[in-house]
Amino acid sequence: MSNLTLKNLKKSYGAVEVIKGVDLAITPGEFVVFVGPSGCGKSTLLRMIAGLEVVTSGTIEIADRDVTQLEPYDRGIAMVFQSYALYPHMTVAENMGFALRLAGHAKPERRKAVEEAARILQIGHLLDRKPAQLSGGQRQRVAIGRSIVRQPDVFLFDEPLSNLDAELRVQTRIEIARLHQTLDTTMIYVTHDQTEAMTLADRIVVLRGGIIEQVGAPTDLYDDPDNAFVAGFIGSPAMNFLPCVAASANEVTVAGLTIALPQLQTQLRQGESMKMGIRPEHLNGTNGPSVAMKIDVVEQLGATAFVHGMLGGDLPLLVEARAMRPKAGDMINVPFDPQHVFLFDANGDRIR
Amino acid sequence: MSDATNIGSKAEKRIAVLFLAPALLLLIIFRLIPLGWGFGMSFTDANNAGTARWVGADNYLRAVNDPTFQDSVANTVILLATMPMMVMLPMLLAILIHQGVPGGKFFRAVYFLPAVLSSVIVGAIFNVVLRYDGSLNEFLAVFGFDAVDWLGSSSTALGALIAVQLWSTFGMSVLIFMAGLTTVPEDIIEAARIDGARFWQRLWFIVIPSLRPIIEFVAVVTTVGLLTNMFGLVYVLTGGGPGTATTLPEFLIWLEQGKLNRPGYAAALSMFLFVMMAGVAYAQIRIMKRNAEV
Amino acid sequence: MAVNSKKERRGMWAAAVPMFLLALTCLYPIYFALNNALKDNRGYILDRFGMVSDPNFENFVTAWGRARFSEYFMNSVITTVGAVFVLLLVSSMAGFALAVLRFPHRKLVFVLILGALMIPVQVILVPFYQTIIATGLLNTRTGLIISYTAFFLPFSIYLMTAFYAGIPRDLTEAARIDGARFFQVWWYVMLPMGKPALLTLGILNTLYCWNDVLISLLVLQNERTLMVGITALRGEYTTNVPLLAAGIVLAAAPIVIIYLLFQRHIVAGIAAGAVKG
Repeated sequence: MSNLTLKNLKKSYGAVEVIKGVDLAITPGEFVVFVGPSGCGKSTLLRMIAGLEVVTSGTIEIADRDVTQLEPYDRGIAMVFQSYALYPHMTVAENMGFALRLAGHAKPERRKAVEEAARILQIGHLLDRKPAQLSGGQRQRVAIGRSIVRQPDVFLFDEPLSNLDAELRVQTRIEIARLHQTLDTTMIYVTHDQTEAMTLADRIVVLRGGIIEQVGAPTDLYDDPDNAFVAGFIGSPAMNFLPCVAASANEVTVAGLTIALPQLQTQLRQGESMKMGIRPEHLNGTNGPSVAMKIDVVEQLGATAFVHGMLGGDLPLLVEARAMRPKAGDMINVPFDPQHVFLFDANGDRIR
Repeated sequence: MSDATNIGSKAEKRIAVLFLAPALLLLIIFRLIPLGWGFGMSFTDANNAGTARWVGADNYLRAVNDPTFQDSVANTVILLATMPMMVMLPMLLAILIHQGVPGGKFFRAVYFLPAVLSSVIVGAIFNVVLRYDGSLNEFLAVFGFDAVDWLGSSSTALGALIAVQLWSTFGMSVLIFMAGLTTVPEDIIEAARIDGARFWQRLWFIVIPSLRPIIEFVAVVTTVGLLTNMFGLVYVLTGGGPGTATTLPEFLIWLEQGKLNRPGYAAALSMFLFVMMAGVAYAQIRIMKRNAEV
Repeated sequence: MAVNSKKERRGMWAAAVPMFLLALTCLYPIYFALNNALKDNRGYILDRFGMVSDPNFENFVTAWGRARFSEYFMNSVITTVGAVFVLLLVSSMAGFALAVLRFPHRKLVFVLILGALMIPVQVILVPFYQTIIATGLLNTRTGLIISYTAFFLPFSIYLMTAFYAGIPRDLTEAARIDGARFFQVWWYVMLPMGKPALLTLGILNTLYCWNDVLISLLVLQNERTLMVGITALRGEYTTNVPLLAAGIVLAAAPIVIIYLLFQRHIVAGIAAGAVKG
């Protein structure tokens, strides 16, 4: 269990810069999730930490050691791949013991370590099978087991659940969380799925275009996003964004409604255009000024319903309604609770 | 992630050099340097005793006016003209086998058998079979045909050579086509059948266009074989004769170098051959670029 | 394009006839050689085309003992086995580097190696011969092994590169993380997984080396390999066809046997290579 520090990390492929200066300090035993849209660089960043990609500039430190120039095998890391990457010509036991074999450990030692890891993951009965004989979920567990045997300083996961079906994904996600509790090792996890990020992470790192947009605990990112991108990325269904105009130093107007925002610390300039964000799940309740909206489409899920409508005829809005059975064509009351209204300027930065 | 800019670590680069070194060393010493050397030698009148004088383009001029060389080039042209047939026939056979002609598996195995025999063996056998008093003439006599000296008369020698070459190489092409046929999508053919297309129509409009990359591949391989893989056959079957009826450039080069003791001249002839090969290579690279990505 | 209609199926049977005849012509020379090898010279002269009436194996023994045949046979075996071993080793190393490792000018090197395919022996006959002399490899079996390797490398490298490129990157990366140096990645992962390609390549290269004439003609001049020896046989024994036939059978036997044993594998290997190429 060790710490990991990234200092001004940059990576270019030829003239194209894909990682544009990343700084990050991860404390020992932390579960950190890199999340972001495709192309944001999260996998590249993980592979740089692993030593599979060459760093253009900057440093990587693991357990207070500068590993930037070291090959993967000298860094004390282990990695679980999206495609499991099990050696097809070796048995499960040989797959898991491969690293120890390369390091020169004797057979009985290897067998013991492999069996211990197999016990934690409950795959002891699969040890003599070949990967082709296993199911997807079993293969994933063997891949994880292979990493455990190495007793690394840092665990790396590269979208490990993407190849599993939905049900298995949920199960394995819980197992990974349990694993983290048992082993208490530092873990870095890459995913594009914000549900995985929210449920697994101690802290989430949101990446876009090669830079970190925000780092924080899941609830922090949910309650207090730094910019519109993070606000829209975290939380499902995604936040509603509406254009609005400042009515006074602490009021905004949207769709004919004026909302007072007493908690605002910045003074707004009257007449300034900006963006307002509010989550669908916060559009029910009784707080705040409300406006009526005509319902276009209802997605009824039983306990909740996703209500799609147009505010003022031309602003699309998604409302998450509870304990209601609305129908298309009905009018619904949409309250704007100032507690849950976020303001973003023209650049997308948060106005606090 | 562009391929050219994705470079690995120092260790990766070092191992790459180490792993490529033996291959590159061998290729450079035994093929690339000799190529340059040959190019230089073609401008001299070197002989096997070791003397060599610079003669400029003399060898090249002599080659162009040399009737033996001219004949060999003419023979090559005739040879290359038969190349389409050497491609079409295996393709047709492969299609028939693929479509389940009775005995298909047996045919496939047997057709490849000649390819396994060396050109020397093939030449030795056919030398006896095609003699004036050989098996072929005996066989034809049954049907009332007169005996022909296949290898001894200049009008039939080249044809006999081409036929034997076809015989020994078509099996390989059949195999390659059969592999390619597995990539032809069945559903398009089914759709065509439902639309009423008959066997030949399906063949012409769907199967053959789908096979185009394979056809080009086989064409290139066959052409390369015709230009550079017939030495053994010529040497044993006809020795280049009668006269120059079956002399081919690659045989002439060997002759000039050894028996006729004119390696400088031979080198110039080699350059002509090389240009022909380069033409084929260019075509091949163009085709590869069009059909696949490396 | 499955044929269903009666007319088409009849067409298939009609096509089978000429195809069968063609197959016979492919088999005829084998029959010819075997048949005549079993006759003695008198029997051949008396009945040149018929089946052998009282087969005897004397010709095989004579051919083997005559004119250094057995020596030539051994030379072929040694040089072929040696060359195939070196070829497989060097081409799998080079294929690994080209397919998996990331280094500058990778594509250029690959094109260069492929380009060497376009320089057959005939084009560099003279300077190649001089190089062999200059490196002291003339008349040595080692020299022939090296020459074979140099000439059959580009194709072998092409096949191995294509095969290794088809193996998912993840596997080499997982091995590196597991602690494998690149050499160990090659040894523990690439080589075992490459077995089918290596087998196909091994058979093809055995074919090329065993059947080669021109290169061994140049390099081994005091000793000879088998195929070159056969050319001499032909000159000496055109009057004794059965003896020649026996020599031919002995020379072709190893490779034909290998073919019969591995026929399915050869077909599969060529299939895989052709589809990729």
